[in-house]
Amino acid sequence: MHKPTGPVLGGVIGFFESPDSLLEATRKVRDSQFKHFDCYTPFAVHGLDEAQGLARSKVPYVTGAFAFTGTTCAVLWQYAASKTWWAHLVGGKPFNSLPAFVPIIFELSILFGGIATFFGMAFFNRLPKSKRIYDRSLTNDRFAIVIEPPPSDPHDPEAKVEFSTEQAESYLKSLGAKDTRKVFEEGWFA
Amino acid sequence: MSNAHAADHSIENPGNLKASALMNGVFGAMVAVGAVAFLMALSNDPTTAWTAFLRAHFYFLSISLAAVFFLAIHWITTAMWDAPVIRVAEGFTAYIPFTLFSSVILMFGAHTLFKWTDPALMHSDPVIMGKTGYLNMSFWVIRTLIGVVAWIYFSRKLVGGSLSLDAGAPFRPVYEKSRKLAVIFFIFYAITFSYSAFDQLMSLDPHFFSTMFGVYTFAGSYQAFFATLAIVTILMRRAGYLKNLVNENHIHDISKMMFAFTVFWAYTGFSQYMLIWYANLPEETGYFMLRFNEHWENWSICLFVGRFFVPFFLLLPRGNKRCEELVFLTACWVLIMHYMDLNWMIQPVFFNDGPRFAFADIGTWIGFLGVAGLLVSRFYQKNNVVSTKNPYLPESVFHHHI
Repeated sequence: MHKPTGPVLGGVIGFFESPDSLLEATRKVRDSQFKHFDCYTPFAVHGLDEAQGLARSKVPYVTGAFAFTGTTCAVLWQYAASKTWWAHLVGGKPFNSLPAFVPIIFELSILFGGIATFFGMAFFNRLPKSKRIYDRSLTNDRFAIVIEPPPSDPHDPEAKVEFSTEQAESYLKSLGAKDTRKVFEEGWFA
Repeated sequence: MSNAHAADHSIENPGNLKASALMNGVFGAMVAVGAVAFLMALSNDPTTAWTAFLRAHFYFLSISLAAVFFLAIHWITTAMWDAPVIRVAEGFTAYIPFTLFSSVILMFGAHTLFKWTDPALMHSDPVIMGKTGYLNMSFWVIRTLIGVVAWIYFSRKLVGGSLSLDAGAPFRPVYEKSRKLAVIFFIFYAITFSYSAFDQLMSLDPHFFSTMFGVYTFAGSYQAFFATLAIVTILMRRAGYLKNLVNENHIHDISKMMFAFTVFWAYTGFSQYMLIWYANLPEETGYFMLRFNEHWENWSICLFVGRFFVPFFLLLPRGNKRCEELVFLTACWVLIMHYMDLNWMIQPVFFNDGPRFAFADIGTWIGFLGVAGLLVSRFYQKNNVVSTKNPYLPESVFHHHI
């Protein structure tokens, strides 16, 4: 793998004053020549995913698939256990008593769904990632757009990537960014 | 989102619902059909007439009361999402005064419906004898009247506060007053609605008792309320009144609530069933034995599948919850299921040999629908269909969903 020397350019950052101005600028960046960008906010801003043009999260499908797996497992396991493996007479009920299984079916669906949601979320967000700490104030009170250089061609990592930081900076300024500068990837493990 | 963003959009007041002679005529005809159906059955077959009356009475009572519960939650949580549809829900409470009338009429049918009102049977049955402290006609009448009067009072006060905003009253004092009222209403509602379900539905079989019965009835009625809210909102939107105020995000929210209470209904229904099944006490199992006999078993299964699984899977995908047509159809289905559910609680006591579906059954229900339609549409004709002075409205109209 190509090992970079020195600080790696993360992109050009532009700070915005409010969520509204960020949203407005994000919509313009989305439709601009800069296809690679990301937004950084201290809290979830409603409408940002739409402004960024992000596709809908795939996490619900993971949750659903695993929840129904949990349902199936609970039915099969309880049926096998109480009907054949460990048949016990409880309260004169038949061995195969669906009403008694339902609480476990419910719980196991939720357990599978919940755990799958956690790991699915981590997977689709590419967590844990350590290298994207551009400015500490982004977790506190500032909003920013980072225009990133296009990723290098995986077949030809040495090829020159077309990216002008000056152009990106002036573009962000034209959108109303209060402060723009180049940022480099840094992090706890970098 | 801040108000700065909302400021670039203006909110138009759609005004009142325009009175329509056709609508009034249809509702009036429904009332006439209901009255004829009920009175005809009353002379031929009083049991059918009164079971039909009780079902229709409780059907509309439960939905309009659930609307007051929704309003109370709205004030306590200062909810934002429902601001464009809160007046629609307030309209449903216009039906509540009529429940006083229908409750009084129901008292004349008490002897046909409730076995425990028969003194001869009471003395021969030690179980009923032991319950006479609670199950006696005068206490039943007092409880019913206290409940109805309390509902009328709270619904008037809560809706009156919201209507005074339209007349220019400042928001803060209205909010403070409504919030306090809402808290008191919760306590009243929990007690009065539970005992109404006990008195009017559970005591049809005086031997049976279930502490889950009140919450089971509530769960179903709250689900049916959201179905009604979805239907009326979509119809009003199609008629152009809520066009720029309600968008797919609000439909999504209402559907989410309908979905949540679909699950809650199944949860309470199953909890009631499983504990009775597990404990296996004769006075409790009688209720389900009756409903799982050869004539009613299919109805019971259809009810559980139809009221839980069908709306559950229909409302599970996000896209479905945002599709107006599909939500409308699902809501209609849920309202049919509310009818089936109440029928399942009432009819097996009287008709061991399976469900009845006479003209009186559907006719009486149509009559009540006509009354509800007249009262609720009159409310929309007198008041703005949107609470435009609600400070959360601009935020809500432009709110966004993930």
